[in-house]
Amino acid sequence: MDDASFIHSMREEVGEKTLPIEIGYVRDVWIFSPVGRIDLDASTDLDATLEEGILQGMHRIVIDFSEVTYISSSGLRVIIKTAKALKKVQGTFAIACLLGVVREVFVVSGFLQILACYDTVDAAVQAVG
Amino acid sequence: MKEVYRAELIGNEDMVTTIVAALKDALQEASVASHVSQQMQLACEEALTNIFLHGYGGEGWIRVMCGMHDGAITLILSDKARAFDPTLVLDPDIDEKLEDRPIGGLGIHLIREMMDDFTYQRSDDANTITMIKRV
Repeated sequence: MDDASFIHSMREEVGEKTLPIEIGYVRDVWIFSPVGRIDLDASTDLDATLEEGILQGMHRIVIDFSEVTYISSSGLRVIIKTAKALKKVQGTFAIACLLGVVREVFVVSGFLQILACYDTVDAAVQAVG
Repeated sequence: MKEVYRAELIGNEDMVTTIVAALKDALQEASVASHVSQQMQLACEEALTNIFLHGYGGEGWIRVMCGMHDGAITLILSDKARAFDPTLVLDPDIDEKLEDRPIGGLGIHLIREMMDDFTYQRSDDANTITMIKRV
C-alpha cells in the first residue's frame, strides 16, 4: 500500500469524508487537491489528512486549490498550522491555483506574503521539489 | 426590507454548515450574485462559529435573519450568550511573518473585510450583530 492509499484508508476508517481530497505525487512532492468547500466541518477533515501525511513523512507538500470554491477562517487555520508543521521538519510547502473568493480570503488575511502561492500546480511543484 | 432567509433554533457548532448551506440556497433563490453570496456565507459562518464556540462554548439559542433592500443585503444574528462585542476585537497583524502568526484569530477580520458595515447591539439579554453588504 503506498502512502496515499494509506491516508485514504485512514480517512475512511475515521469516517472523515466531509471533504473529498485527491492525493497524488510528482517525484517526492505530494499534491493534496481538496474538492469543494473548506468550511468549519471540512477543515477538521483537511487538518487530519495533512497531519497524517506529514506524520507519514510527506515533507514536500502542495495544496492545489483549483477545485476549492470556499474557505473560512477554520480552513486558514489548517493552512497556517500545516506551514508551521512543515517548517519544523525542514519541509517545503506551496499553494496553487487560488481562485475567486478563496483568493480574496488569502489576500485579505495576508497569506500571499507569508506563503508561497503559484498560479499552477506545476509551478508550485517546481518550487517545493 | 424583503426577507430572504430566517432561522431560529437551539443548536451548536455542528449546525453551522447546515445554516450556511440554507443561507446559500436562499441567496441563490433571491438571484444574489455568487461572489456576493460567498462573502455573505463567509460572514455568517464566522459569526456563528464565534457564537457557538466562544459565546456558548456549546449549545445555545440563535436567530439568523437575512434581508435585501435598496442595493444592500443585511444579515442579522442574535444570541443569548454572555455580552460580547465582536466589533471591538482588534485585527490581527497580517504583516507578521509566518513564525509569528498565531494559528487562529482571523474570523472577525474576515467579517470586517467581506462586509461594508459591521455593528453590535446588546439589548434584552441578547447580543445582536448586523452585517451589511452593499451590492
